Amino acid sequence: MSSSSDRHKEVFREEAHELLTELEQSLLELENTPGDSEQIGRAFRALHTIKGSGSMFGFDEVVAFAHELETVFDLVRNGEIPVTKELIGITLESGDLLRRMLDSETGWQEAVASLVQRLRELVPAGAPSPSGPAAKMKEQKDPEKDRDAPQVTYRIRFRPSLSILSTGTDPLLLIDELGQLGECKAIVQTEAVPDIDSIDPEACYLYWDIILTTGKGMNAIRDVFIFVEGDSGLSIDILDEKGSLGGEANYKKLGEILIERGDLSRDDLENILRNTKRLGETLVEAGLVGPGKVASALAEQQYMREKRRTLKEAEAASSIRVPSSRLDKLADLIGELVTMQARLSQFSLVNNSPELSAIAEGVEHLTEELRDTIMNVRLVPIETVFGKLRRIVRDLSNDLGKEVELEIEGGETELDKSLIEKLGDPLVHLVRNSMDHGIEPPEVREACGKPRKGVIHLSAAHSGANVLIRIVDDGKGLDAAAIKAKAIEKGLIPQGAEMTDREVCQLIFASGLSTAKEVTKVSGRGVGMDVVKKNIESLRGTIEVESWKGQGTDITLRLPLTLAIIDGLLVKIGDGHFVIPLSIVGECVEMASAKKAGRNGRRIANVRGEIVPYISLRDLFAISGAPPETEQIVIIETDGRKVGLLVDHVIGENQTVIKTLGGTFRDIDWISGATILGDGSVALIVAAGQIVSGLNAKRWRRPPARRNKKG
Amino acid sequence: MDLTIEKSGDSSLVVLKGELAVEDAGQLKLALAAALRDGSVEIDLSGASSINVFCLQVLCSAHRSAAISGRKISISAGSGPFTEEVKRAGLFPNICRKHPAGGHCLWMGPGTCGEAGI
Repeated sequence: MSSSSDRHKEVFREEAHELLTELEQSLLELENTPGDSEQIGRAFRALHTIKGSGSMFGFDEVVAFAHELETVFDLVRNGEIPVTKELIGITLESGDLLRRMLDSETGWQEAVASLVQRLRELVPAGAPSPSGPAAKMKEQKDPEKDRDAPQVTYRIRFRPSLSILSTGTDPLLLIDELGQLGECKAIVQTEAVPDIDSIDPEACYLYWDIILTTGKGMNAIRDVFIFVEGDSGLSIDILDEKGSLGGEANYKKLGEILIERGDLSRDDLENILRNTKRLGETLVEAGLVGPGKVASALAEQQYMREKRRTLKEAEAASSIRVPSSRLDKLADLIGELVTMQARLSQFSLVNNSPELSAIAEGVEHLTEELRDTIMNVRLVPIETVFGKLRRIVRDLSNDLGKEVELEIEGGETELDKSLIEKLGDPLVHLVRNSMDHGIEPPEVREACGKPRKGVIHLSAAHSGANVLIRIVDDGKGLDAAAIKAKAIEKGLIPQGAEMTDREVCQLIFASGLSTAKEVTKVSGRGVGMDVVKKNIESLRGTIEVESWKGQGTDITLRLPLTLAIIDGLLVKIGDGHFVIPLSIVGECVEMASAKKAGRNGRRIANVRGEIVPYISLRDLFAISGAPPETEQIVIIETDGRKVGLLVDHVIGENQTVIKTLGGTFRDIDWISGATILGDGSVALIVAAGQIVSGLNAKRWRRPPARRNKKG
Repeated sequence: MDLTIEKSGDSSLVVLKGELAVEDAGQLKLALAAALRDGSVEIDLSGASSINVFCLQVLCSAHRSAAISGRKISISAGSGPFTEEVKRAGLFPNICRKHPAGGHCLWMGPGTCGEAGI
């Protein structure tokens, strides 16, 4: 029992963290547009949901604190308190505190007391004061106030989703809440409850018909169901608006009342109605509406009903919550399966049995499909990371006294979840860097003729099998001359090295280089950009910077969609196998040794009239032995440039399960991982993009390719 | 939740004590399903200090199965919290009649239903 209860608590925690993120997002939006009622509603809903679900799982302190916040936001919603910077600040702090309260049982009590005090100070005298923990769910109703308001009777049908419990909601608490609004009669409907052998004890088959008379209005009712409305069926009809149930006009639908009371089944009613004249027929007979128009209206009605019904059903079943560890396990297993399948294919080749080949081929297709499906399941929108940056930009703007607006584009772009997890830190660092070094203080910006407010534009987009993430600011840009001077001083490049500004800019990723004149708490210690680069490269990605002095900086990250399995091109050099990620491979061409050396020993191939520079992997990896007569050039495309990689043989496509190299080999350049082939041998994965950009960046630092050295 | 089953012949007495929380619905389901396979079931709720609506739903389901298979199921002893929760959930005698399986009223017990003979 305890494990089940723990599981529910864990689900609540996860939900609450998501809701707190939602709260944070709405607050940050609200700070820009203080009157935005939609955002106020969003914040309110998040708080309300945390409060509602928390009470079910015994998070009493969280509930009490969320209640305080909710009270304040209720006043905001009613226009009784304005949205101020102070309010946003306190609420953001409160959100952080709620996270702490969810994660640990101690260490926050004092902070809660002080924040509660500050929250209460926000509430103007005369407004209903926030009541203490004892109040929890039950807001005091004010009978005096109710009496004055016009009483309306509603008919509510609340059909919770089957999985309502998994969202941490006890449907009866909602019914109780309705009871707080006024006179309420709830009748449960049990017809959907299955027999004891097929019932899922944690699914909700019950639904309720409720008659409620209240003066609080439709919105108050909707608020009760605010956090389940998306999944659950909810219909609210006004039965009587004048407070006297005698108003006959509203009581025309006798059949419905009878159905609701359980005295007549819908089928019986429909049978009876079928034998009487329908409204449409009557209208046509009276010549008021043409038959075509009636038919069309009926078709629309039927269509919409059907559409809504299927949509509701689809929504209810469209998503489930799965612990991410299970997805990791699935990815691991599919990785093992791919390796095993490669062995099977290899074995079938050796055995030359048509039957075995057919089986191996079938398994290969299935494995490929399974792989793609699982990798798809693991995709998460990048918004989850981008969202966090909003908060950082806000806090840092205050700390640094700068005015910065963060624009986000393409937040819906999806990436493998493990990448998303690892992308957080580098992105935070890059954005902090842009704010600290890039964007100038408002006075300086004005003096330069720029708007006071700086802009950081964050965008994500798919590009083939990669995702491009760009961080563009309109700050002062990089000072190429200063970077170059510093790099020379630190011995990173030789005196008098000839480099373009673009090449100089890439030096900011070199270890130990910071041109900031003073070290701030944000950045400037010279560690960071190199770590960022390492992090991105460990994700098999690349990072590039482009900058225009006085105008801004553009940092582009290019990341693979997934980390676990890729399509690769298997090549052979000497006795060793290597894999080149297929996503960047354009084509393969043969190269006769006679044509190999271009003019002046430069390595340039002529591919159908196009000049393509190439790199010999045999030389780069210092593999001994003589190359074959005819070698192959694998032409890859990175950053819009074509570069050839010279190899001995191209073997073919390979589903590559990426294994990371051990700690000893972590710092090896130009290799991003390894994979196990069908025959059990190991192939190294070539970090092709890194080779191309690395050779450009390193040519001032390294001696020419280490030929004739044993590898 | 404290659950004990006392058997006599082909009938079982299921005694439920303490807090019947949402997490207990699963255990309750298994116990009632097993008891119903053996014969008629009586449920003693006099020691229940609270009962969650998901547990009520399981009782409702057991009642339904019993009616279909012709077994008897009844609540021999209720409790304050039980009656409270039944009212709170909006379970009324007429609900039982709605189901094709029909039968007596589980929630109010024989004779208290207000409808003679059910």
